[in-house]
Amino acid sequence: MRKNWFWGVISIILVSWVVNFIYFQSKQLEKPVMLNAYLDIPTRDYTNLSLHYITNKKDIIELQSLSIGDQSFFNERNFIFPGFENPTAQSFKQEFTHHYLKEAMFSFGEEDIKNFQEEIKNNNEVYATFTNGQTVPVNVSKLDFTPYKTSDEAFIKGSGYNYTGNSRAEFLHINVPVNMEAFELPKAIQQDIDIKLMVWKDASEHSPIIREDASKEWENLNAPLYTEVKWPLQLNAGDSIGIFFHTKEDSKDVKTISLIQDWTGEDADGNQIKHVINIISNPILTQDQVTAIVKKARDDVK
Amino acid sequence: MRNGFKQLFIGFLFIFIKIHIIVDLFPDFIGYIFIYNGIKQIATLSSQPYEKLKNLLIILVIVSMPNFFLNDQVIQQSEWLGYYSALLSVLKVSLVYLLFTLLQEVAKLLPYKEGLISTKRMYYWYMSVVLPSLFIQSFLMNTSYDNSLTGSILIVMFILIIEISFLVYLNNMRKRYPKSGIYESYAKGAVS
Repeated sequence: MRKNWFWGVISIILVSWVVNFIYFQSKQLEKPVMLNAYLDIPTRDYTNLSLHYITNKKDIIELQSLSIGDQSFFNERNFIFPGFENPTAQSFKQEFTHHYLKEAMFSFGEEDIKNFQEEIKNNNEVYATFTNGQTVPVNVSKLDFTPYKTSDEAFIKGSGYNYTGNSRAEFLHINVPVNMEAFELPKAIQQDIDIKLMVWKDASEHSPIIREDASKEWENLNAPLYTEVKWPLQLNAGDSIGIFFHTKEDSKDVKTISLIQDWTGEDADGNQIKHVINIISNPILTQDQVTAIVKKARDDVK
Repeated sequence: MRNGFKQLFIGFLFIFIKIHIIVDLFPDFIGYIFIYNGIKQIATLSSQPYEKLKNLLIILVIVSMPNFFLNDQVIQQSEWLGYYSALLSVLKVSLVYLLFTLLQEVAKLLPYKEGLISTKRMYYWYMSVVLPSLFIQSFLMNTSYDNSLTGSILIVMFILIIEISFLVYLNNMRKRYPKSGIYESYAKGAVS
């Protein structure tokens, strides 16, 4: 027995390599996975569109182009050049045990948007082509461009933004008394995004209480969800309001979200007023979410 | 005997040093041929069997030939070449294990115990470092990049130290034997 200890240890090492290899292979994707997207993008002179996708860490793959009908649009964040592939020097948003979450960005001019919208009328499918030649359909809940909207500045003054992890906040200071109506997020993203509205009575935009609440974690924010607010919401001159967005971490269908949400109301004279809430949510994934996405992708292949 | 250890030293030096300019300037398979010559001389002079070592060395010479053309960058980029490197490491540690079995017998022939003591010490240290390293290495593919990098750096450092120690040990062992044949020398000593 003592004589054979070495071969026993070698056997354990070989078994360990085999088991680790099998486990490693069980986590690999055959093709990159495009994350779902809900994109209702306000257009400007040059409009950017972001999409997110998951690749195997060992593969040196980046999204090369999006194609719809005859139109192709190239990823401006494709940093892979043939001959210079290096698996440890890939650009990524997040790193997981076996995968990377990556972002692709496309820039559209006015003409591009016209062509894109024309093609999307005739073709339902958008395809993503990767640097290794693989092509996968892009699963989008919505993909549209809408003209850029502006808020009525007469009654509010933007007093800043805040961004921490999966949460974002916009702070407004009210100039004239207003009654704001209820708003509803599109059904396709209701399960992905939560919004809390916090009103500070007679609080200037530089009030320390706003700064204090702004730094709180989403769970600790003592403010109602937009669905629980007693509408219409009456705001007086001198009040401040915080609109806190939060991407739900338990969402199974993680999306890249960009949308503009109108929030309407009226002032004391009965004039219609509008504030445009710009919601942008780029996915921040947990290892469990990635594991679930990879498992679903592997099961779909079977 | 002295020449046998010299051949072992040169052989393991060839395996240790990797200078890749188009091809490996110190090819591993040449190293294994040196090691075979060294083992053959040592085993013949000490009348020890070396069949297992011979067979393993033939395998190593063949298996290590692709390594002549592969640089570290190419190995890193290919998943399968990573497993090839691991296979070479397992075969090499098996060679060192069998070699130590032979060297412990040879060290017993020395008239003083230091040779045997240093052989056993080197053997324990070598196995204590290399075997756990190979085991831990198998898990690195399933860990995050940061953990994998830290693990790899530690393993490389430990392996580097133990391989240099092993080369120093082989060189010291060579010096323990007189320049002429050991048996003749010791026989002369015994007569006088």
